[in-house]
Formats: sequence, C-alpha cells, structure tokens
Amino acid sequence: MLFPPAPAARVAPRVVVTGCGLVSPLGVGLAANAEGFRTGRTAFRAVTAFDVARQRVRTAAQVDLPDALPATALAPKAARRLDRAGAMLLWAAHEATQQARWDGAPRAAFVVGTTGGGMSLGEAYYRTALETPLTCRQQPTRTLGYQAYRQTALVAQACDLRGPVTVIANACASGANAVGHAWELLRTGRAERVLAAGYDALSQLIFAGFDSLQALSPTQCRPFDAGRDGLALGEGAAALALETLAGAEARGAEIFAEIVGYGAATDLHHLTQPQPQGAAAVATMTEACRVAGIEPRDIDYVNAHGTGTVLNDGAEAAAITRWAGAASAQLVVSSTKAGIGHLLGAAGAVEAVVCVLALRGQWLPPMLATQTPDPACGFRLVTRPAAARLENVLTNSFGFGGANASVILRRWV
Amino acid sequence: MNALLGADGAAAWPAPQPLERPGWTRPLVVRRVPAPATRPAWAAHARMRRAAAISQFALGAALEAVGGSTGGPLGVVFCTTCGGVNYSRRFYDEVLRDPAVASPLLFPETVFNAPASHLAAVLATGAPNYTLLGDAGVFLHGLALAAGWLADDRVERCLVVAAEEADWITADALRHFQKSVTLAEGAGAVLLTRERTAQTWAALECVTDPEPFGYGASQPARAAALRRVAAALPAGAVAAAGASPGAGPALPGEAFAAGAAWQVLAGIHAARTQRLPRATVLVPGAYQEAIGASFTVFGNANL
Repeated sequence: MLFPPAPAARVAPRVVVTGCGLVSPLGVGLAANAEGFRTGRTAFRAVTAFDVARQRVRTAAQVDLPDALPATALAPKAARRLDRAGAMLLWAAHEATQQARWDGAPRAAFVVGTTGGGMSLGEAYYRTALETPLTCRQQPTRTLGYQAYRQTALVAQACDLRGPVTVIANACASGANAVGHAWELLRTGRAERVLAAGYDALSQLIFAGFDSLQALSPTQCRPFDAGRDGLALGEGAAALALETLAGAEARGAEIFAEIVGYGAATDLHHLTQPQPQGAAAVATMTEACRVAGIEPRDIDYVNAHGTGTVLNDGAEAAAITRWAGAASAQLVVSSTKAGIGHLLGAAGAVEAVVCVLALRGQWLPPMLATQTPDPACGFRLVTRPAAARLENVLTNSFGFGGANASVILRRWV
Repeated sequence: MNALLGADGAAAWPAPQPLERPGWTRPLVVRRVPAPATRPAWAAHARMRRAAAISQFALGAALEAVGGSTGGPLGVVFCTTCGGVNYSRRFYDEVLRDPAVASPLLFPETVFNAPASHLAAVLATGAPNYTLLGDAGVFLHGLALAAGWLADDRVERCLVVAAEEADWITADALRHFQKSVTLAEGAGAVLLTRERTAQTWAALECVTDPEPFGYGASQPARAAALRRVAAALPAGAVAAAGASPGAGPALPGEAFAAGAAWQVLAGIHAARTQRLPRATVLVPGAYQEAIGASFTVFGNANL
C-alpha cells in the first residue's frame, strides 16, 4: 500500500548510497565525469540540438550520447521510444543500478525529478500538428513519449525496479526533491530501496524561455563573481541507488556515502525571483541540519545552487552567510554549474552525485571562471582545484516558483 | 461540491463548446469551466493577474477545500497530467515564429509547478510544496504523499489539488486515443488534516500500490491491473467514475488528474448521501497505471 505504509521502525534507519549514475556534458558515466569536476573543466559550446540563430545567446553545455543505449530488460522497440532526455535517464539509472548490484528483489521505488520530460517530442508533436494537420503518423507515439511519467516508467522497466514511480516537477529543485523524497521514503519505512534521479535535456522551448527572460549569460557563467551576468543551460541526468544501511550491509554492498539530512521550503516572493535575503533557503539549510543533528560549522563544503544570475547568487550568498553565522568565514562554497551549466530538473541529482564523488575523492569542485568574489559572499569560494578533508557536504537547489531544497551527504568510511 | 454535482446531486454539465483547431475546417469539442458570474476576490491577487487558467482553476478549488480552516503549516501537493499547456503552446508558437521576440511573460507560466507556486503565495504558506506528474492516478499518489507528510509531522494540514486546462493541442492529442471522449477542464481539491472535526467528510483509509500497465499494454492487461487494484481495496461502495462511457457515474469528460479528483469527491459524496460507510475509488489511468483508494465516510450532511 502507498498508504498506510507498514509500521515504521522506532528508530529511523540510516540511508546510504550504494550506486551512482551520471550523464553530464563532461561525459557519460562516473569515470568520465569525476576528473572533469575535480579540475573544473567547462563544457560549453555552440548549440546544435536546435536552431539558435535568432537567440540572444547561442551556447550551452550539450551531452554527447553514445549511439546505442545500454542493454537492459527493455525491448528494443520500447527503447527506441525514448527521446534524448529519456535516453540520458536510462544511462544514469542503468549505471546506478548496475553499480548497486540490485537484482530486482526487493522491488525498488523510483523517484524522478524533471522540468521538461520529453519536451523535444512535445515540440515535434506541435510542429507536425501545424505543418501537416491531417496526418496522424507518429503523433500518438509522440504524445506518450512526451509524458515524463511514461519515460520514467520505461526506465523503471528497463532497470527492473518494479516499485511505484513518482515524478516530481518542482522546477530547478526537482532533482534535489527527488533525492530528498527518496530519503524520506526509506527513513519512514515506506520503501527498502529507492532509485532517486533527475533528468532534463536541452529543448528549444526552454532555451528560448530562459533567453526571453534574459537570464542566460552572453559571456561566461561565473557563479558568485561580482561581474556575473547570467546562467548557462546544460543537460544531463543522474541517479542514486539508495537503500537502508541494514539492507546494504546484509547483502555486502559497497557503500559510497550516507544521506543524513533534507529540508524543503517554499519561497513566496515571486514566481521567478528569490526573496533577496534568501529566507526560504535559510529555512531549508537549517531544516536539513536539524534533521541531520549537526550545526552549520559541521558542514565542510556547500555545493551551491549558484546559477550565475545576479538575483540567485545574491540571495543565496546572503542566505548561506546568515545560515552559517559565525562558521561562514571558514565555509567553502562552489557551484558546479560553472562547468556544466544549469541542468534544471536534473541539477539537484547531478550535484548530489558530484558531492558523492567529492566525498570519496576528498576534493573540492572549483569554479575557474569566478575571479572576483561578490562582496556579499561571507564565505570562501573554490576557484582552483583543491584537496580537502570532507565529512559533511550540503547541496542546495532552488527553483522557479520558489521550490527550495537542501540535502546533506556524509562521507562513508 | 454542489457546483460539481449540481444542486440536486445529479450531474449537470455545461454543454461542450467548439474549439478552433488550426488547419481544420471543423472545430474540436471540449467541455470548459463556465465563467463565474462575478469576479472572484482572489483574481485580484498580484500573482493571479497573468496566471494561466490552470492556476485559476486550482486556486478556486483549493480555496473551497480550505474553507475556514486555520492552523499550523499547510503543505501543498499539486497534481497534473498536462500542466499549463495553453501558455506552453502559445509560447512555443512565438518561438517558432521568432524566438527573439517570444514573450517573457508567458514562459514562467509554462513551468509545471507555476500553479503550485501561486497556491502557496495566495495561501501564504511556505511549507513543503510538490508538483507531481502522472496520468489520472497521480491524484491518488498525491493523497498518499500528503498523508505521509501528516503522519511524519512535516505539516499540520495538506492540500491536494489536481487541475487541467483545455487547449486544442490537448484535445488533438486525446483524439488519437479516445475519439468518443470529450476533453474537460477544471480542478478538484481536498484538504487533509490530522484531526477529525465537524466539517470532516471522510478519512483516507488506504491508497493501493499502483499497478503499471507496462509498455504497449493491451486492454486485457489493463483490465487485469484494474482487477488487482480492486482486490487490494476493502469492500465498499465502488465509485469508479470515469470519462469513458459505461465506466460508472459519468464525469464531464476526460480531465486526467482533475478527473480523478472529481472521482474522489463524487465517490465520497455518493457514499454520504446513500449512508454507506465507505467509498472506494478505482482510477484506471489513461496509459500509465491503475490505482485505487478507500475512504471511511462520516455523517450524512445536507449536501
């Protein structure tokens, strides 16, 4: 039953990460990504996925996907129905479940965050409906493929998850909400295993939308730089195989990290602008720490939302400084959007996986383009590759509509 | 509730209206939400000035569900299948014509969680707020999520709202699957609280696990999924309403997630008026999964 769940244990179980999958503009797979994030490599180039000739900005971080999908339980005919976004989700989910060595029992729930789902298919549907209004060819397939939950159901089938599928569309916080919701399902005994993921592909509608808002940087994405002038868009997917510590230990699974805190809140200020002091962001970071039973001084690194827009970074800088209080001067912060852009619904999940990589490798992801820190930053920015002793890291995601979320991950030794 | 069922409890739907479909000589047909006789007060809220129809429907239903409820943190779970398709279609149309002049006023309203954001702003609640996507059954997922938040003390009260808006592109897409079914628009909402009060209509007893149809499911496979869901539900007054002919008490048409919300409301209403102790609701999703829920019904108020 989804409700009521089986009685929960008196003590909430610990939740660990036993597998990760990552598709980003830096590469497909963890191995292809880790060094790029560690060294601060950037992946921006001219957009080729659709026509940008009439756009104000013409660059983004695109993913180079392999020609063929990984071999899964999905029938080839069904696999062909996945568009670019669905294919990225499949790659990430497949890597995470393979790494976790899940074998289908017990069944796993699937919690996915996205903003666009199969938007490219929706766009194709609309163009076809206008250009050839009397034809039905491929239109039913596009209708189904456009739906995010149809894509996720196919990926769940491919990875033999067999549990309930939940699709969260909380704009740019979707991926973090997916990770947080998955964590809550495990903590409350509503699931034994959950694959948490986020995915989004570049699409013409969304790219033009951000361009119309003049939110895209015409120069270079420089999170928290005093001269920042906007964000860069990217695409990708990430997945985290989560399970209870008891379950992981019972089957001798390799553990990559522990998730110890999650907070979510809503910023009511404006549909597209954060409250300047970041009150909701303070609330999510505070709540995540409270649940984790730690203080801001225990956080060794913050993976900021850090889009590179004037408004987001200003509000987030104020929020982190206020939340960390006396500990802020020692706190180190960076945004991996400096290298791969804003992955929208995928961002929170991708950045959680980057945190797992950083915890395992004990390094800080740098933002090489950020040279002149915004004076509002009462913390240290990571602008060069660096090693560090990381125990607890916090990742922020803030989205359109005021969706705010923070997740805390802990090193596993 | 009376607006949904008609003053005497019988369905009294507005007549379907023609909707121009570019490239066709004949219009599509949809069942729209009638314009209110007077402008609701909430329409003057700054957030609602440019809000899409889906947000207006959602807010109207939400405010009716909240009524005079006051108390601690109010969570919001917004459920939809199609989202703000009207502004999305209009914005993309502008992009295809010339992206350099596409309206920045339209784009923010295309985002799936825009209605949920407006709800939170108008209701002044900063509590957790999720937008869930799915076929009709997503409303029952939303009920389970909200009930979980209440059980875990994350919120004191939780609104679960589902809404859809009609557009020619949605009606066109529906035609590929169900030619005889009319697309409908609107919203439904329920307020879940932990404590029972004099205004409480029903208690959420259970939400079943979903039964996915799987890729390319045949009608027998869907029927089998429905049977498995039905078997998981306690026996009671089944209110398996739906848009398809012969599927039970008629709803005004295919309204996806909003249709499931209407099913829940209609089922509870039917159980109360017939003095039945329980309402069960079976939602055969359009193309994802079947799912069901059961409610213990209280009282027999004058509805």
